[in-house]
Amino acid sequence: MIEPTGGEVRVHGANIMDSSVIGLRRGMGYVIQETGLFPHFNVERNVGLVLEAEGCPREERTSRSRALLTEVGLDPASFAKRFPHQLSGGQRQRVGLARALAAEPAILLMDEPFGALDPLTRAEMQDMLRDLLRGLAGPAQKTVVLVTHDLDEALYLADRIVLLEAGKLVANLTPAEFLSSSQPEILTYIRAFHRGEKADPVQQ
Amino acid sequence: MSSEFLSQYGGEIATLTVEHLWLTGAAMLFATAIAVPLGIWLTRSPRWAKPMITVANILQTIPSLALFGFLLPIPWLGDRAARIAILALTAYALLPILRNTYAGIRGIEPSITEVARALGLTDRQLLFKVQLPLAAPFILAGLRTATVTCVGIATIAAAVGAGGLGELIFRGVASVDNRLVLAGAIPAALLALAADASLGLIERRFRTPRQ
Repeated sequence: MIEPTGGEVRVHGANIMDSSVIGLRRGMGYVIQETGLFPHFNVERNVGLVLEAEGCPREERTSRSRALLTEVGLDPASFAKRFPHQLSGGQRQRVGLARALAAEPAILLMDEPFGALDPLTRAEMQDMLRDLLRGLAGPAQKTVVLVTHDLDEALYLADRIVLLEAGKLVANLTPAEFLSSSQPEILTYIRAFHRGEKADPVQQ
Repeated sequence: MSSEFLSQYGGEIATLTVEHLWLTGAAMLFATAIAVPLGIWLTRSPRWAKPMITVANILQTIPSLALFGFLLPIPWLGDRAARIAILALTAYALLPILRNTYAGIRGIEPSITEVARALGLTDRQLLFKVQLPLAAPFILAGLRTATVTCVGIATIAAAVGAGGLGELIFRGVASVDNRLVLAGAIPAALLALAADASLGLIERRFRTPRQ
């Protein structure tokens, strides 16, 4: 979406500046907090839009959309024909994920996908995502880059946690290494979470 | 209005109504063909938006009678009064359509356009599948305003001999005959109302479902 101002970005070993933008975008799934669902399309068409853009025939689009909806835990029979405004936040996010998966991308970019959801729904979504990704085998396996401020989410979902501070990479560790790290930036970050447990009650 | 009056002028009212519709319709067609693509282009080159909309704004402020007068001496145009009328009406219709097309597309929630691009939609697909459908109610609202304005201004086209219902009004004023003034004014008002209502219906059809 934005060209790098310095350095280079490599996808599958190739510099992105050398490849076609459209092809590159279609090879990546993209999920954002606001979902960005198209309000004038029903759920099924939202999910199948990438396929539509690629000129895929209608029947194939429909069956693919419906299969994807099932994968993200939505019953196509009751959800396919609904419009985004008729869904809850969590359901919308599921549709957003299904749409991102439609082109079978090798890479999935998720920018605070569950940030706007309540904790229960968020936990449900995290489980769904985890199960879904684990269920994929062989070439269908995906690289997921998930941006989050929620440490629990990172620990729960990630194979590697990358901590960024002021635009610089400060750590790139597995969740276990991350928790036992003595790096000051990481300690500060960990301390900022779960403050409620350790805090003194306001009134005795 | 007596039936005698109607039988005397009915045919003429009908002819002039058709003429009126033709002037307005032609102008709306031209204005839409210019303003919608221009509005789309402006959303992609926003630095031109302000100057362009200002030009359309200035066109809008020229008194209509003066504009018809200015155009009269222009060689090819001045030969046929209808050409002047259509050109002037087109100029008046530009602003609402241009402004609404631009604002309608710019007003789409940025996350929607962002995702559409991220999904790999080409510019064309983005325009036809996302931007135009979502902006359609605004564009149609602009068309509606422009049409109603044009139906009104078209009555003045009679001053340069372009015909239309204004002819009855001018003749009525000149001969101090209120019946003639009304014979032009009432059908013109009805035309405006009919245009407003029918475009309103179409606009409602295009409204996107929202929470």
